[in-house]
Amino acid sequence: MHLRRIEISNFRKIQHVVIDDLRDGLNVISGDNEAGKSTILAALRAALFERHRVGGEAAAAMLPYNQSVRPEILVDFDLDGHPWKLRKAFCQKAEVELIGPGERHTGDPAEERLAQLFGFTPPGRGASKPQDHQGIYGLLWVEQGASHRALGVGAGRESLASALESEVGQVIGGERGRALLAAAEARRNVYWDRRDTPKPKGDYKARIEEVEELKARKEDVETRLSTYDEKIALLSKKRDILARHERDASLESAVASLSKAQQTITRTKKLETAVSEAAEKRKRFETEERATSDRLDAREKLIKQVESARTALNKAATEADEAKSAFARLETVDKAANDQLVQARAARLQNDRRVTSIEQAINHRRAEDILARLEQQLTTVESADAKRREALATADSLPLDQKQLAKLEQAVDECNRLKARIDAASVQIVFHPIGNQKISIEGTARDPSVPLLLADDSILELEGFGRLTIHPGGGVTELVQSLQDAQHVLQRALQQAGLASVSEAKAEFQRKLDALAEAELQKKLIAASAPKGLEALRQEVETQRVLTRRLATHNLSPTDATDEMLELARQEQNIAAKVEATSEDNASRNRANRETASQDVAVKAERVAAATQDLNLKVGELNAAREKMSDEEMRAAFEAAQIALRAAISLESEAALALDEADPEAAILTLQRAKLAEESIRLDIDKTSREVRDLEVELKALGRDGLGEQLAEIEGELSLKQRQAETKKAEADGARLLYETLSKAQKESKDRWLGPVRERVAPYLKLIQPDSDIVLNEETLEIEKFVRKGVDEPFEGLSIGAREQAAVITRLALADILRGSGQPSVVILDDALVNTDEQRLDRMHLVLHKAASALQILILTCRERDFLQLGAPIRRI
Amino acid sequence: MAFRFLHTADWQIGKPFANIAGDSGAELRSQRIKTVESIAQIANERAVDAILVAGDAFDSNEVSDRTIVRTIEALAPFSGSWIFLPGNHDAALAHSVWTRMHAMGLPSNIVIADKPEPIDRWNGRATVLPAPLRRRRESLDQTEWFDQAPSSDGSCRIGLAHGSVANRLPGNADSSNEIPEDRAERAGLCYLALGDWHGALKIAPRTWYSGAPEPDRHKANDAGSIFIVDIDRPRAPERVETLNVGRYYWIRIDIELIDGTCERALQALEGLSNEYRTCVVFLNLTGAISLAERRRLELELKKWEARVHHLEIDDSGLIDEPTPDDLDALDNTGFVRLAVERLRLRASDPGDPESSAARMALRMMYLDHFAKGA
Repeated sequence: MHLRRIEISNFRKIQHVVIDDLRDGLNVISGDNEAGKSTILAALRAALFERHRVGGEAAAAMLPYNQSVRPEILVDFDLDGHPWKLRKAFCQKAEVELIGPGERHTGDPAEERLAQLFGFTPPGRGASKPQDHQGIYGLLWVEQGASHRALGVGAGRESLASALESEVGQVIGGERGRALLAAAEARRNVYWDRRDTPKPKGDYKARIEEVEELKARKEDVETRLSTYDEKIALLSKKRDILARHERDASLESAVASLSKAQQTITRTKKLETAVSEAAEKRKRFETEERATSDRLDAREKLIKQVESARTALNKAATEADEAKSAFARLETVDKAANDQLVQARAARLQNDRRVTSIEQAINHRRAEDILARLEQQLTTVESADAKRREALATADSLPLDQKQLAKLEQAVDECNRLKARIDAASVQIVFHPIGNQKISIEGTARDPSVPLLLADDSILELEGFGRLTIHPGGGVTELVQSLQDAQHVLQRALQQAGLASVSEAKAEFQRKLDALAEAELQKKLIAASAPKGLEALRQEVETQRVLTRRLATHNLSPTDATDEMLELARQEQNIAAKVEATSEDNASRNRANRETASQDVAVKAERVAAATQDLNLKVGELNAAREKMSDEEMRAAFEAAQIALRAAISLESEAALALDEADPEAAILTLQRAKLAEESIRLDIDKTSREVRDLEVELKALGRDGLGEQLAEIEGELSLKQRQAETKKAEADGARLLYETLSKAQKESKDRWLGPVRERVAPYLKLIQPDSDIVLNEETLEIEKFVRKGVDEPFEGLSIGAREQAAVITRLALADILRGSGQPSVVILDDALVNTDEQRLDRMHLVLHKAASALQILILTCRERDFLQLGAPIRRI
Repeated sequence: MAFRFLHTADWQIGKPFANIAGDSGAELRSQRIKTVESIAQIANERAVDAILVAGDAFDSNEVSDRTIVRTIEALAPFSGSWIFLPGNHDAALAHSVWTRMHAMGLPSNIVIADKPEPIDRWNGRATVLPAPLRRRRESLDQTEWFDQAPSSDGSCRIGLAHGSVANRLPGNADSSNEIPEDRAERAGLCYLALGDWHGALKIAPRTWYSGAPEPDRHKANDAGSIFIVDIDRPRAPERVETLNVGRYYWIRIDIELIDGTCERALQALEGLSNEYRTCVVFLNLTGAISLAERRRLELELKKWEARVHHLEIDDSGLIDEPTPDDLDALDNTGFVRLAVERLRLRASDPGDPESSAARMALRMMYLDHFAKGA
């Protein structure tokens, strides 16, 4: 098919446009933005695919903005070399007219014929949508801005598929093939999971596991069974052991051996007893022999002791005599020394008395001096004390004290003060008689030269004048009363003190003070002479007096009682003391010698006594012993004991020889062995019997489970399950192989099915991107991926430019195929390469050129410049 | 003096048949005890003097107590002497099913012949000489003592043993516990009652295997019977009557499919007796089969599985051989064809490790195809 002429009136923004002389191959239609180039494509779609009577939004969309006109489109095209004319008007007086070679259609028949010619299915109602209703033109005519999107095969798929099938023949298995594949896949999925290396699943897996489990169980039961068998073998062995014991009568023979050994032992025991009895006898005789021998020794010893006691007595007596004569000599010497000591001691005593006497005389003289002085002091002090007492007595006789005097003076002061106040308050009347008229007051005359002070109401009789009544001012009366009270107090105080007046009181108080001062003075005098007091002084005098009196008992004259004399006497005294000490030493030494000698005498005498006693004792003892048994008898007894002992020794050695011959050690060993043998055999029998019983019990318990039955059952089940598992495996393998084979075959067939597309695409791709391939989805025929140098890239992952180039190339290839199968295929691209760079665009121009050798291609563009070099006629609108 | 006894062996009670799943297996298990009960009843009816059980009454020494108790109960209908000989499955070990039975307290008519000692319970009419196995495999001939065994004058000497008679048994029969073929003769036996071989068989003069009363394996021998034996007097020839007591028939069918169809297999199954309900069938299929026929075979076998007591099929030797028709039945266009072709190639290549998987795949595809088509 080729479009030849398009005329559009009142369609959207186009008032009227004619595009004619459209050529085979490339045609460029250029228009600025808003010029309406895209509207041309819309108009073309409307003319071909919208029914002329379409209303609603589809119709409204055709109208220019805000106008109510009649959109009309005329299209001239060639189909299979024949010219066709289509005219369609919408909205108002909608009509359609299709004129072809030898045919003309209007109205619905025209629409039907149109659908038939272009292979599309108009919508039941409403607008025609490119992908749903416009057959291959949804694919081949590309709207502006949609070129990089998916192809939008849509309703064109059937046409494409039939075109492909017509080219490659029927390579796919059709519906039935797909069903077989689906069934194979479903079956494979029953047996295998979907991993890359599939693993058994479901029933198949369960079977395999069942077999494994049974194997494990079998092994377990086999193990248990073999244990069971081992136990049975053990039981049999144990029973054999018991049977052997029984057969050999091993226990009985061991018992017999034991009893024989015990008899042997009894015999040896008797021999042993004999030996020990002989030994005892021998010991008894030994003891006896020793006893007689000892007794004999004792007798001889006793005789010797008597002799030596006698010798000792003689020696002691000699020594005692010597000691007595030594003592007598020393006694004489001692007496002489004692006499000498008595004389020396008397001389020394005389000297002592002389010294003492001189010392006393000197002391006496000194004591007298002190006494005289003390007596003088005492006299002085006693006189002072008498004076002091007198003064104190005087003071005591004057009772007035300071307080009383003060009270009197205070009372006088009060009277005086009151009198002054009365004087001040009284009326002073001064008489100035002319003559010497008399003045009397209340009958009492008054010396008129003396001013009168009146304190109370008074009536003056003035001679010559008469009576004058005077009333003194306020308060005088009270003052007068107070004065009277004060005077009364004073008087009473004086009376109490026994005094006539206050001045007398003062003089008396002064006397008292003087007496006290005298007393104090005397007291100080006493204190100076007798600091410890008078009484102490008196005591001292008395004491001194007694002392002096006591020292007066000497008869020396004061001339003899000098210090020089005393010194002389002391020297003499020292000499006498030394003589005495020497005599004392001498005397005491002699006394000690005498004492020692005396003791020695006593000791020696004691020894003589002791030796005598000892001798007597020993002699007595010996005599007593001899009375019991004479020395000869004793000797005979000893000899007899010796003979008896020799006989016992010989008997003992005979018994020992007999025992030695009986070999007791061997007998004991034999008994031990027999005992052990008997015991071990008995133990073995007991132990084995017990083990047999235990094994029997154990086996009984084990046997209850029926292990053999279990094993046979498991083995049977295992063989059954193994067969089943093998069957399953065969099925699983078959299912897997079937699916693999079918799907591989299908894939290969699909490769062949898309082969023509690849063939068509390849030369175009070679122009822009060598070593690349476009892979379509077998089902949808949409672009699935782009392969560059063997690397797959999903279509959606490509850049916009690459996508629009791939899509344009694929559309061209598909258009080729459609054309080849005789379908009307014109390609319209509305600014389909706006995202392609200059270099690629140049290559794409080559692609378009190449495609245009077989296809009519309309290029709508707003970029005229891009296509100037394309070498195609450019029409501007 | 005549002596009549019932000779049986190889009950193998306690055999689990676990490879036969579900109720079928359980019924086989319980039937073994029921069969013992019917033996006891027959013995009672036929008034035998004794029942000699020549070994392997139990499947193993390790059967459960429950099994033992139930077996003892099943013996009740016959109150005469039961002589049990320990066999290789239930050898008289130190601890065995027999010691366990003793421990449970046995009625006095039940005798465990676990010692090589003469048994005379019939007032001198007969002396039973047992040769018990005291281990699973005896290295020495246990019947040797029979030759010198004492017996009262005029009593029938009857040997009781378990094992294989030397040089006599067919095929690769177990050659352990060997019994000399002339033992009966040498020991002056009227009858040597044997166990171990599961088919009924006279193996040597006066020497008999009674076989298992209830078959338990797919072995082509004459199992499922017992003997009633009459010895009229010492040295008189034995009179042996065979009675069938087995309930289940164990049948093995080997079929090779040679024409690509399953016809022969189906015919063989049709040939089963009317008592197919008591058949335990083992069907061994070999040969080759088309996919269409495989599908048909599977449908038919499903029916047979329901009919017989148990049907075990071994078709591991049966190869799928898709015919051109089979493959044409699948779509002959598109990738399916490609897949079929590839699978077919692999299936027919014996060197391909996945050839059997490929066959299975083809079969599956074929079945899917019909499932979809149906």
